[in-house]
Amino acid sequence: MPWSEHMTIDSLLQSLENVDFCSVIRLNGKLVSSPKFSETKIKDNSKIDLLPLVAGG
Amino acid sequence: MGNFHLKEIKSVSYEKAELKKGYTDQSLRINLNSNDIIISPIDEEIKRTFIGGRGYDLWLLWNSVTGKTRWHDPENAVCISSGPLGGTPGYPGGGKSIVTSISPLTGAPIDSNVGGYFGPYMKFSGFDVIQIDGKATADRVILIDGIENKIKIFEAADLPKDSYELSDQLTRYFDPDKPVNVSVVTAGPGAEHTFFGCLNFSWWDAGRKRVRYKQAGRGGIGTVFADKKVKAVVARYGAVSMKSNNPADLEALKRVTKSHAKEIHNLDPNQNRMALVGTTHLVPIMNDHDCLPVHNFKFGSHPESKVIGEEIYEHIFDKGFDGCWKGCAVACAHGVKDFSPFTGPYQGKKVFVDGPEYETIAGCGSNLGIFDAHTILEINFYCDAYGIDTISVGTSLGFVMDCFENGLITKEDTGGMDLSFGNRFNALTIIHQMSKGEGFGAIVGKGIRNMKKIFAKDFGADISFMQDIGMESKGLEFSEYITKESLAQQGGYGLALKGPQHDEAWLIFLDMVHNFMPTFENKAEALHWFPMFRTWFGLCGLCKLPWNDIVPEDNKKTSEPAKVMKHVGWYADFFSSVTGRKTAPEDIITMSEAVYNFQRVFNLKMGFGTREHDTLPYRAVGPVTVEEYESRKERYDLQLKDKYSFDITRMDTKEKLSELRKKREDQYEKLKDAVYERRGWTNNGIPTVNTVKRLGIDFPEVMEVLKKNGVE
Ligand code: SF4
Repeated sequence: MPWSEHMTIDSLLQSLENVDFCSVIRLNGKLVSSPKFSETKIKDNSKIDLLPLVAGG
Repeated sequence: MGNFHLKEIKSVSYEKAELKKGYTDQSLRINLNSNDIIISPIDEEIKRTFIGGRGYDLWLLWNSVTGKTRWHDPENAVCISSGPLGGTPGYPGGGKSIVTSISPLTGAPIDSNVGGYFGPYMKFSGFDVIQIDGKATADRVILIDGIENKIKIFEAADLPKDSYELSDQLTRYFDPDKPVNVSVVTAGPGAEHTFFGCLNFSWWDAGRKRVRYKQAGRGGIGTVFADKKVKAVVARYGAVSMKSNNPADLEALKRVTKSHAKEIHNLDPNQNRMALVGTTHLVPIMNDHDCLPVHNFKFGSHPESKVIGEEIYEHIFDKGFDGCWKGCAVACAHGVKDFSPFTGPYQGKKVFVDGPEYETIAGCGSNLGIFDAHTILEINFYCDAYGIDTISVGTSLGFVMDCFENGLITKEDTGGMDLSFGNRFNALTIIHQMSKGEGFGAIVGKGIRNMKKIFAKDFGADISFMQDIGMESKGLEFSEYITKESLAQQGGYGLALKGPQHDEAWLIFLDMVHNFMPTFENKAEALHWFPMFRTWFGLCGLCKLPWNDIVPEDNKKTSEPAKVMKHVGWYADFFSSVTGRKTAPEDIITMSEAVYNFQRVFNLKMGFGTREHDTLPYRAVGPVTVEEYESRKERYDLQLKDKYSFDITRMDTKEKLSELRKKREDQYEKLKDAVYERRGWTNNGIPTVNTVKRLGIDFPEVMEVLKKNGVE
């Protein structure tokens, strides 16, 4: 996925399909939850994993 | 090896039943009054209706007790079973045991699903289920030896008091050459002195060459076990393979096992990384979504929670394979080696701690204002060793601390202890007191429902405020999620058969974060399907985690991702391949429904199981105090204005609190109506005659209980 300068988790997800269920991702190994998606900037060459729907205990 | 003494007082040789399609079709009963050892066949109708596991437990328990039986009566039984699929090596989560009894906390049947090797070893030794009833006059150890084909009852003396030592010593005693052949069920001194005693189920960790254990935690089954003077039940069995269950279609079983295990192996490293962090990843996630209990469920997040989550524990956990069942690819049962407690009988010694899991961190950490990974480990270690449930301990202590901070109890009542939030030394002191039944800890060990009565009667505390902040329902302490913003999860807790444990339904994200169930009907549908599907794991002897904690990569493209239907299909194939009973995904729901409704009627038999018992403390529903309201003012103000059309400009916080409360409580009652209807129950929460007939549980004694409660 090409990187752009002001890219956030939120803007990245908006450009993807089937991500309605995504409320947590891993950004370079660190967990980031949906309340922080819009404020979390993505640096170039970052690795992002979308976590499955949180299933609880 | 310790200097304990075991004197054999009864020994019976038996011919081992041949395993057929996951079943032995035999039950074992140990009566401690008479030391009778009774082996009985399980008939086809019971097998068809109750499937196994929790279903078998409940059927035996129902027949053992009357509606008047209380938890400490001799006829109350501890029932432990595997299930037809239990004991499948390599199938993720394929070896759980399910335990039931009449709970000291709730007075009704309680069930707990636990790892370790006991259930499968007992089954392969010839018994689908064991019922232990009666009461011994002196300490007992029971052995089910599937290698020698013998069942023995021992009188025991000088055994180690705590589960940590006891599990280890009995494992080495009963098979010194091959400890992997032994699994031990033990309680502990805390189980003798509290109402929330747990049972520890062991397995031999071949890599580390040590005994490990998992807990059947909820509802005080360990307390019943200890009250019967049972120190341990031991199962001994040899090598287990995929053929051990004598499955109907071995090749199909191998195929489905391989598919599920391979998927977990491939995907877990990029999803929740449970093989590395267990369930500790939930700490930061719950914190960020305002769902982590902080200060007795008052708040949902705390900046210091970052020091008690996966980022810390990942580095503390001992590296190695951590499956609590043989070959489980999730391998999430982590532990910490060479831990050195700073209090109590193990102070300064090096011990292995099994855990912590999310529930323990949240309950005994953030909920108590203790943001210290080391203290949480120490609480975890002692709760297990003493045999007390970390969830009930955490939630009960949270209530006590809240009462202390609100002046409902004082140092005069606590034996001089400051029990403000964050006081980790005094929290540990209470836990040590619980193990001896001494001091203020003896009161805390009775659980929240009893504490409310004692605090009101002896200390003059305000009962209605305690009703609001005491996080129990049906007498059971809440597990560790904040539900204020999820009506569906309020139902997940309040309408759960045994009380507020999340194993029936966990709908917070679907409801609160994604708003995927906006109507009462949507919520009711979820509160039908999820509890029914989750019940099935307990019938079959399986762990729930591999179902939806690791999901297929294309799961998000399916019509109902929360159900993870690809895995549901695999479970149906798994059941078909072992039992030979051709099963489709929808059949799973019907199987569970029969047992689920039977348990609801069982609650009724014991004097509960109606609408009035499905209530919640208000703190599970909305803000109780002004402080709580103000902490989420924006959210609540908006709701009052937009959702309920209030003009809030002239309302002070107290008025807002009161109006919000009326609305939220009303919503919860409406949810009950919708769920009862969906489940085929009356408006009073009782299964109708049509429902029990449809599910084939219209036994005469069931119909009699319904009739007594006005349902004909
Ligand atoms: S998923 Fe975790 S808890 Fe479940 S059986 Fe496997 S190791 Fe045990």
